[in-house]
Amino acid sequence: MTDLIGVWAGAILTLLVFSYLLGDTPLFRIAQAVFVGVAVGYGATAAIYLVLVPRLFEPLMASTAENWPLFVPLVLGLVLFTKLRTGWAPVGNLSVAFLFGVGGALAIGGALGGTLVPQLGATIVSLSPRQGWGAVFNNVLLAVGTIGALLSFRFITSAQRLPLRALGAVARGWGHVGRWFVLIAFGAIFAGTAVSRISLLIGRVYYLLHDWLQVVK
Amino acid sequence: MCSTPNRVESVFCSNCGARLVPLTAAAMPEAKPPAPPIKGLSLPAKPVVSAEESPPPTAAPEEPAEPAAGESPDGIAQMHAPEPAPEEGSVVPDWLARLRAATPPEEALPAEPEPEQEMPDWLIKSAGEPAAETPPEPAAQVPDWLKNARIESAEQPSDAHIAEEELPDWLTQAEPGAALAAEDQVELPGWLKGSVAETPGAEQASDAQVAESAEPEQVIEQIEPTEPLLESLETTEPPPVAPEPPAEPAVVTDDYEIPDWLRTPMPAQSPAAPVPDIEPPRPEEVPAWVAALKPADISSPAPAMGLESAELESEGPLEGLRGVLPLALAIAEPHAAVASEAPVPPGQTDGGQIFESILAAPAQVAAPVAKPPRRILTLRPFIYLLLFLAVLVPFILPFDLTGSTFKIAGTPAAEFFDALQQVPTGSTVLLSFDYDPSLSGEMDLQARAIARDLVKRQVKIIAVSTLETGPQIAQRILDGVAKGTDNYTYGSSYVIVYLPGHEAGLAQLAVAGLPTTDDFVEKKSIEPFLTAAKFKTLRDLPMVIEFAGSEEPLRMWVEQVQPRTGMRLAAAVSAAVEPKARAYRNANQLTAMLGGLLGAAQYEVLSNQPGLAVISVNAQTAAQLVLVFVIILGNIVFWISRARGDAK
Repeated sequence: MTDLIGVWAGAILTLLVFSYLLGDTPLFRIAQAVFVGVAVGYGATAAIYLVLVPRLFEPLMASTAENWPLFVPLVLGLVLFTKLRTGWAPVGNLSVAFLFGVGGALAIGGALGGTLVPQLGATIVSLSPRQGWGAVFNNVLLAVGTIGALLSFRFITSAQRLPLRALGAVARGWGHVGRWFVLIAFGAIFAGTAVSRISLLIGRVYYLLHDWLQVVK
Repeated sequence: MCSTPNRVESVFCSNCGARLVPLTAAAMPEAKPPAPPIKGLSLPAKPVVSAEESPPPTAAPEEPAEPAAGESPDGIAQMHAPEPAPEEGSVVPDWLARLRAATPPEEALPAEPEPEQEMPDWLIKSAGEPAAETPPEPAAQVPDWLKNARIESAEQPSDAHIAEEELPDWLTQAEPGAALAAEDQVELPGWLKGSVAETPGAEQASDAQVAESAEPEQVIEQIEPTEPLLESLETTEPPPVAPEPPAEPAVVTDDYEIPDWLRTPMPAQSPAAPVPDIEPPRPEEVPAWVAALKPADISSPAPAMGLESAELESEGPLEGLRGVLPLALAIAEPHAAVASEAPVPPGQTDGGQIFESILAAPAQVAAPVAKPPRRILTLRPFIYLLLFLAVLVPFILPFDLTGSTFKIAGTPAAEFFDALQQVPTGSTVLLSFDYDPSLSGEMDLQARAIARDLVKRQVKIIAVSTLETGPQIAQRILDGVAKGTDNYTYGSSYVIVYLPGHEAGLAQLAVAGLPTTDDFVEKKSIEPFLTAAKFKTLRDLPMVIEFAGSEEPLRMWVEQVQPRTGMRLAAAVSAAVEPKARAYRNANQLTAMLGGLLGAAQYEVLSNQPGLAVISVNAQTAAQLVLVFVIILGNIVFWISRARGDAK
């Protein structure tokens, strides 16, 4: 019975969302409000029963002496409530500074060690024909596309002297080529997004046909 | 001349820009130009000439310029034009002689007091109150000509003739004889003739000449008595004659059409009518068309530009002249918008009459215009319908659209499958469900296919999620997969854990390993499970598989966990994240990658468990064909319409 109610609720909400194809109808607004309400309620419940209770309050109540370091996150969390009042808001800056400091350090360190350096290393490829002309072509394309994409964001003027001016002209032309690589990358991302959304449509249609109407096995 | 009052020192009119002072040569002595004849009731655009500049009224000019009749703007001015009086003994027509004999003495004519209501302010100030009631003003405030006139009028006996040398030229020459001489040049309007006929002088003249039937004489009868009246109406100077006893009020009959403005001053013949203090109307009481008549720049007159300050031309044909080319002064002078014409009150113009007639006409009820039916001609609903049918038909009528094009060898899915097959049976892997329910339609197929393969090989699973909704999805997937498998239960074969903290939680996972906390389903400690799996750090696991529905969780795993542990990380991502994941795969940051619905279908085929992903690929292929068709059709229509637009 519970599954049946869930299936009907899911089917009705799916149809309400599809009503957006006819415009911004009140039916879509209902589904939107239900989705937001459920998401917020579920998030708050998960924060309480998955984080605060099992990881903060229960350890402190079980053994305060052993888990006294947990008072630090507790105090920092309580201080955040001072942001609700303008006069006391500066007190909450301590918690915000802690959050931003930790988050910034993790993001910068992760970007350097996890994305920038490995991606730069991946562009250092061999152009030796011993690995096959196909691989050479791919590597050349990779190098030209990477450098061209970087040169497409070059915003400096050309020098007046002849060698530098020639170098600037080359960079400008290469940047135009790199711009096409960037456009192709954007096109690939857009195509992938479109395909992903079609997959979601297929999942919803299958849900209606299989779980709700049960016309498809 | 626009008749706008200007300051005395002004050279140019502030309204129309006309020169008010004639050009004079600087070197030449200032010659006093003869006073122009005063015209009618219009205000002079020329500034009031001061007493010093004006010629003395008593001193007759040496040779008064006699204006030609043709040069006078109107006939009335011709009456004031100096004409030589006929000499004694000269040939006088009989009718003129009789007229002289019949003409009453001049003092018998009713001296009409000047209609003070019609006098402009500047004249009222200069003339002061009527002479009959107010004492004469100080000499410093009264012009010389006015003082002379008052003295003469006071000394003159009522029955004495005015000596010619004591009268102004125009008055001297304006004797009856002169009026008679100008009789043929004056054409009075009918209404004026009628009014003149009612005056006592006219009656006397008509009595004396009742036998005369000649037409010129009748004209003289009408003109002669009107002389004082015309003077009182047209001249701004007081009459030179002595104040007479109160004259009989003019009787104006209704037989003649006399305008109101002429009727008004007639009762003013009663002497000593004080000037009422007229309260200036408030702005809201003034009609708009009257307000429009007010000169635009009357409140802020143009700066005075005298000839003394004008530049003297030192060379060229204009040498010696001053102020001939006042270009710089004209530029420096503030310019005000000057109406080309004085606005006419509404209703007097042709347009106003037409407008009033339109307003007076009964309103016609406009026939209701039938609105054309609103037709929304757009292809959007058809595209929706076509796409829906393309998705629906493969489910109802299963047919294999991907049979010939479904390649598996050398694909990322095959690579992923090979990497997963390297996981030993009975070992433990970590699956991270980092997508929300909105992406379940795509990601569930991948997760279910991979979990089914792992469960089939009895690989233990530690399911984690950095999202609040992830554990719920993991439970649904794993419970469904484990349902049909023996000896694969929750707590002993797989557990689900929530990892809070996002990047910080993943960094702690990479450094300290999985925290000994409660699981998501049974709320029991996972420590026994980890101990049984011999799990301390991520390096102890043969593989970590990340299910990323968006780019953010994949980036966090690649940046925070993989570099710190050096573990084997594989990613199953949605089609939208595939380009980004492919870069990580090319950099060997990912061991393997599975992308989108197509990757799930490929994995199902490789693991010999074809299911929903393969069927969904058929629907996806049909939908993509529809999109390609629509895009091509849309471009063709666009180019055709553009070509037609260019042709037009």
